[in-house]
Order: sequence, then C-alpha cells, then structure tokens
Amino acid sequence: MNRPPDSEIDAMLLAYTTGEITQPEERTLFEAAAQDQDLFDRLLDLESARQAIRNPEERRRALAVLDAWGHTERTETLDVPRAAAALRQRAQRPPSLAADLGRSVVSTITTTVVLRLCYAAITVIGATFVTSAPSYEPAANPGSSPVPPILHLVHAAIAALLLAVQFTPFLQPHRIDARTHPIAQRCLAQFIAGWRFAWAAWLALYAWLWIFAVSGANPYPVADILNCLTAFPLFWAFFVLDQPSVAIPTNPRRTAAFRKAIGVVWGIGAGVAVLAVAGREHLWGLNEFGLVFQGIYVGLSIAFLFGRFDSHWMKVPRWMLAPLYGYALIQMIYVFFFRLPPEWQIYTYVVALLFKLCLFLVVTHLLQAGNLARYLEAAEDGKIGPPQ
Amino acid sequence: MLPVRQPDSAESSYQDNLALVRRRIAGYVQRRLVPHRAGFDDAEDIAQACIVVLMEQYPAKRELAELTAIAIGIARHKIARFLHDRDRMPALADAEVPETAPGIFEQAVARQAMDRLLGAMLKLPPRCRDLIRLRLLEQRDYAEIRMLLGISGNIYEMTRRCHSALLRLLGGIQ
Repeated sequence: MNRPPDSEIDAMLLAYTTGEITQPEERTLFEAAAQDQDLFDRLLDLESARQAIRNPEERRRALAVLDAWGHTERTETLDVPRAAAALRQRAQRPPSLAADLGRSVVSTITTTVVLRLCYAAITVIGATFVTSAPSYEPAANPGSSPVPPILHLVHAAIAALLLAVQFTPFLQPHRIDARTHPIAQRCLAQFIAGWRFAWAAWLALYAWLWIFAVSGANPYPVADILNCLTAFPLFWAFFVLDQPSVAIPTNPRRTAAFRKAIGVVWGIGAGVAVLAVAGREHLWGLNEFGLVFQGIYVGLSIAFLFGRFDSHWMKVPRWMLAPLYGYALIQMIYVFFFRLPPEWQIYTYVVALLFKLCLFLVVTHLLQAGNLARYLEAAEDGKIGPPQ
Repeated sequence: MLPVRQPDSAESSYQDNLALVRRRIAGYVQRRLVPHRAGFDDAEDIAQACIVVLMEQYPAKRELAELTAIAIGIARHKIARFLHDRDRMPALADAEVPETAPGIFEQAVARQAMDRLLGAMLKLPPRCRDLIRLRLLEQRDYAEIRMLLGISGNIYEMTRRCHSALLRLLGGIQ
C-alpha cells in the first residue's frame, strides 16, 4: 500500500480529531498507521485527547484553564470570550437593507466626486503640455504624436530615477536568509532582476520617444518593439512567482516548466512585435490594427503579475490593486491611442505615468516590507502553490 | 480419514494483521512509557492483552484498518490501566472512591488526557493555541474562526499545521 503524503496524513488526523473524517479516509489512515510505527504512535497519542475532547465537562474545564492562563500570562493572545460575544452580537443583528442602500449611495457619491477631482487634476496637468487648440479630429499621421517631447522626457527621467534608486541604499528589499530559504532567496533575486529590467525597458522606450519627438521623426516601429520589451520582464516576474524557477542539485529539471513558459512568452512577444511593425509599415495586408495584439500582450503581462499580488500572503490592500489593474486595462486602448484627440492622448499619457508610479510604490513596498519575501518563503515551505 | 485442514489465506492474513497490530502496540508502549518504567515485558503484556480482547470480543473484525482502529481504543484503555496500577493516577487517588464506581475510571482517564492536551496546548505559539482552542474545544467552524481571529490566510491550512504541532507535543508529554 502506498503511504499517503504527510500533508494528507495531517489532514486526516485533523479530520479524525474533529470527527469529520470520511470512511475511506479513516480506512486509509488506519492502514497506514498499521504499517508505520510513528503514525500509530501519533494516533494513539491522539486517541486519548480525542476522547477527552468529546466530553463536554472536560471541554468546559479546559476552556476555564485556558482563560485563567491567558489572564495570568497577560500575553497578546486573543480575548476569545469577548470576541465570541462580539461574534454572537454580530450574528444576532440582521443585515439591514437601509445600511446596504446607504453604503451604495455613499460609494456612488464618493466615486463621482473623487473621479471628478481626478479628471480635474489630470486635465490641469495635461493642459500644461497641450500646445495646440483642442481638436477632436484624429491625427492625420499616426507617427506624429501630439504628446510634447517634454512629457516623454519627464516620463524617461522618472523611469531613470526610479531605476537608479533601486541601486542605492534607499528602499532596499527585505533580505531572505539563504541558509533557511535558499530557493526563496534566489527567486527574490530573479524577481528583482526582472523588475529592474522592466524599468530599464521603460527608460529605453521613453528616451527613444523623446529623442524622435525632438527630431520630428517617426519613432514607432522601434518604439513598438521597445513597448513589447517592457512586457517581457513583467511576464518574467510573474513566472518567478508562479513556477519553480530555481534548480536544486537533487532536481535539476525543477525549472523545466518555468523555462518553457519563458520561452513561449518570449516567442509570443516577438511575434506580436513583428505584427505590430508589419501593421505600422502596412506589410502583408496589415494596418495599425496589428497594434491591438500588442496592447493585449502588454496588458496581460501586467494583469498576470498583479494577479499574483492579489495573494493574501502579499497583504496588498485591496483598494491598491485597483490602479494596478487599471494600468493593465489602459494597455488595451493602445491601438486607439493615435486616433484619440490630441489632448486626450496627453491625458492618457499622464494617467499611464501615474499608474506606473503606483506600480513602483506597491512593488517597492512589497520588497521593502518583506511581504514578497514572506510569500516566497511560504512557497518554499510548501504553504502555497498547487498540491504536491 | 479426516482431511488435513490447511490454513486458508484469509485466516493467514488475519493472523498477519494481528501480529502487525501487536507489534505496533508493543512498539508504542516501549517508546512512550519508558518514564513509567515500562519495559519489554510490560510492552509485550499490554500488546498481548489487546490482541486477546480483539480476538475474543471482535472476531468478525479481520481487516487491518478495522483491527488497528479497534486496537487503538483498547490499547488506550489498557495503557491507562497500566499507568494506574503502576503509578497510582493522582486523580483516582484523590477521589477516594471505590475503583469499581461506574465510569469513575474513564472520568479520571479523560481528565488526565485533557490535562495532557492542555499541557501541549500551552506550549504552542499563542496563535496556534487560539486556533486549536476554537476548533477543538469550542468546536467552531472555520468561517467563525476566521472572523474571530481576523485571519485572512488559509485558515484550514493553519489549523492543520497547528494540529500537527500539537500532536508532536502530545508525543512528548506522558
């Protein structure tokens, strides 16, 4: 008989204690116990405790002992009786329809006001860069963007600053002890490498746009390739968090899935870039619609990565995820960007910059506060991830 | 001439199962009851007594899983009796009641088992202790525990790990 893995045995032991074990599980557990002295010993240790737990009088006595212990210890343990009372009170209070409606009305008003203020802020910032009178006619030449060179320069300068700051003693990532979590430590290094690569790619993209905007030349076929390059490190960072990306001496093939995923994603990115360039140049019967694939590719890279940030191990406040997913969504309008009125292009550009700043703040927080390190350590400890 | 009766495979399997269960019980006693001066002979006696009960009172139970499950219950009782005879369980000594009083022995055993459980729980980290308390002693479901403790992670996984730690501690307390 094959012995079930330890995690399954532990789960069955817990179910046995709580009386929730199924008959097939019980059979498996006792058969395994007959073959394994350690498991048999644990079951026999547990049996006495299980019988005691079934006795209501003993349970009451145990709770009184624990209360007395908690009182004298004055530790930071939970005040269970008070919390239980709060729970009962909460359970007794029926949900109120008025409260539900009130919450909805408040969120509607808040959203309207906040978004109006955001729009005002964006238009004020964007209007300082609008050089021509407002026009709702799409640009005649997609290559000639109304976005002023200074905005590209600001974007590139911010990217350079945020990249450079990662190499200074400021905002250093929380370290992982290689002795206790060697795999997590190397995963963190891989993630940081991908993260820096993303900022280097953004720096290259906006520097390129700035240089060509100044000269008045069309930057776009190359800018499209650079745009695709910004997505690749985000996919990389996602796969570092998603797949076993570090080989170990006992299992050199551990990274096989990671390498396969990276190879495929790189290939897809290259294909998307080829289509985008062909569309720009009107080759193979294509037009600018080829850019739609690029928007999807970049948007997916961001969405996949932020999906990982959704993990409760990361402890990213839920509201903070909204601008991150927003950043993924606006990638989808890339194909329409050049058809937008000039000032709208500028506003969109400003919004993208703000989202990028949000992204930097969130990831830097995850790195510095150690949330990402905890996630990777938990992954190495087998606390998260697919069942082994 | 009467035919010679060959031991059939079912009987042979039953005997093998009993032998295996016997070995496990003896192993447990030897490993766990050393502080109580239990030696090889005590282990063999307790294991044999369990097997006798299994054969006499549960003759229909022949599969390994069934025999192990019943044997664990019997062994628990036999070991408690052994400890009582050897060490005079304080709970019984203080009670000063006839040992034959109905249920008094089981009550004393349950009390000692709960004391052991409490001893192990008090060695757990506070968060684990709270989880075990809520799940096993207050018998709350996971949704309630999540709300009471304000835990956003996988509450079941945490409980499983805490329960596993509790079992390790129980193994060290006799």
